[in-house]
Amino acid sequence: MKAINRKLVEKNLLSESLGEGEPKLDLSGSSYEEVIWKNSEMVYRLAYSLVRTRADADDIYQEVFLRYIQKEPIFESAEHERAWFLRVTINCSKNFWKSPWLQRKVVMEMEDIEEAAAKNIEGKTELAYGMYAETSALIDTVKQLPNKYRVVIHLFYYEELSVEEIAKITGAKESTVRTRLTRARRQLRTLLNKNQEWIRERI
Amino acid sequence: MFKSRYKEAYNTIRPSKELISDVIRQARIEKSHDRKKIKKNRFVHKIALIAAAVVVCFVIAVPVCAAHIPAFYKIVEFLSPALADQLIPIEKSCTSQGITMQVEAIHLVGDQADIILSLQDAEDSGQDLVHGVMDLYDSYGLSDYTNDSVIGGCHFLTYDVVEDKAYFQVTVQAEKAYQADKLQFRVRSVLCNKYKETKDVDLSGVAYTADTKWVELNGSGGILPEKELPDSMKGDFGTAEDPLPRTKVLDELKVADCAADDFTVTGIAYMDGVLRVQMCMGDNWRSDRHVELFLRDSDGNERYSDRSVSWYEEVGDTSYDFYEFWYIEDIAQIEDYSMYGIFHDSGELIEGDWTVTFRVGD
Repeated sequence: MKAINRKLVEKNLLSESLGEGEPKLDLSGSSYEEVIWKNSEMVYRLAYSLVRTRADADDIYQEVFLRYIQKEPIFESAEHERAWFLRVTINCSKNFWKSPWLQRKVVMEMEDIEEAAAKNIEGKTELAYGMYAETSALIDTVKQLPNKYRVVIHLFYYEELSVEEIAKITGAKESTVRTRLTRARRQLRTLLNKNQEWIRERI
Repeated sequence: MFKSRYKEAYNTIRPSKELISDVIRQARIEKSHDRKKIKKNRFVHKIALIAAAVVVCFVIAVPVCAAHIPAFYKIVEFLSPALADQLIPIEKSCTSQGITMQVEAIHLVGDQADIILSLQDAEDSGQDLVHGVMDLYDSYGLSDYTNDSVIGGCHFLTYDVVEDKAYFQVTVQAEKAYQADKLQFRVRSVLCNKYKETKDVDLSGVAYTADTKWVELNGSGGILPEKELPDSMKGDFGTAEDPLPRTKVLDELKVADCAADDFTVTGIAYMDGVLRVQMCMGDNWRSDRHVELFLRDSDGNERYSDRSVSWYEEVGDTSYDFYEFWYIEDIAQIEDYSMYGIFHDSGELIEGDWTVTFRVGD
């Protein structure tokens, strides 16, 4: 799926780049584009897990890669690269939370998830719809957690980072990360109601 | 598993191809040294943005101002509409020990005052102390030049997950009427991480044979005196050289595998007519965790343990507190029984100096 998407976009970019006034570039030799491609989904998913809407995630995504392009960091290893992008995404999200306008924005846009899921379940069975409902319910519930807990939940469960790695990226002590994970799990158990027993039992 | 469900949910979240295209295009422009163009574009964009912002400000200024109601006001209005109407906003704060205290509002009449305040982890403090129920540990006061509060009460209002703030209402009374032109509100300590949770304890994995070990007790108690315990449960009362009483407890889970900051069930066994449930309370130098465990039979009768013992074990600088609860019960089938606990975590005491000086009616 990832490869197909990428091909589609590359094709579009190539055709767009041949337009008048656009710089003509060689995709194959541009390592920074490879870096963007490689980290795109990771950055976007983390951003989306930390803010309320897809539009906000879009802004953070652009900000992260703008910083990458401007700062031109030299990565010593793949781990360093991954950690850099995760950290910058968290930092950009923090700036976002500080905005007094956005702090008050508590209603999340479920339409994005519904739209994405609808594409996935189009023409499929009720079972598929049930799975979609469970998926969006899970995202909805995790988004009710405070930001500091969403960070650790995402890095731990999605990115599969260790407590030590999360501590380095977030700048918190390892004990703090452990505590946040414990409390995040506890809050999730409380937030997930009886209808979502299937998840609650597995946290 | 939660992990696979979470991954599955987030696998559907991807950046749109338009978004990726935009970023790649920006990168290309930057890298092709067309900085002049991008700067010019940005300048044009900025002008356009400023113009748009001015228009938007004019259009939405009035409704936005009307919509800006402080969070504390909404909370108090919900709990006590009469008090909410009388509050005067203060919104002054100070930070100590990485926690910011803000006096949000006050209602002052003569020698009495209601103060609404909030606590929040200071920005970039890297700590996580404010996240739920808290307590001011009777360490608050309101004073003016000569007058100090003599009695008072503190009521935890709520924890706002969006703002990550804990709200309190403090009511104080002094000997004389307060002078409103210079007031000082102070807090000296806060109790963090306080919570109570009722959870089931799974008895299905009960062991019928288990290793035991001697431990020196730092406490024991219960409705059943020690002398009435079955012989197998009786400990010894220590010696002149080693006066601490000792007893045998389950030796199932190693202390190193216990959480320092949470409860861990470290063993459950039914032996010699006694159901033993052992639990580690974590590092109790930094908190005060305790639990009430109830055994429920098939008729729904619930009861507390007949006796419990406590001790501690050390790993490095951390001291782990353990409890073992004993239920003397003739159990034919463990499936006929269930257990639940009320888990109390009184949290961590943080001492600091939170002082805010303000004047009412500024």
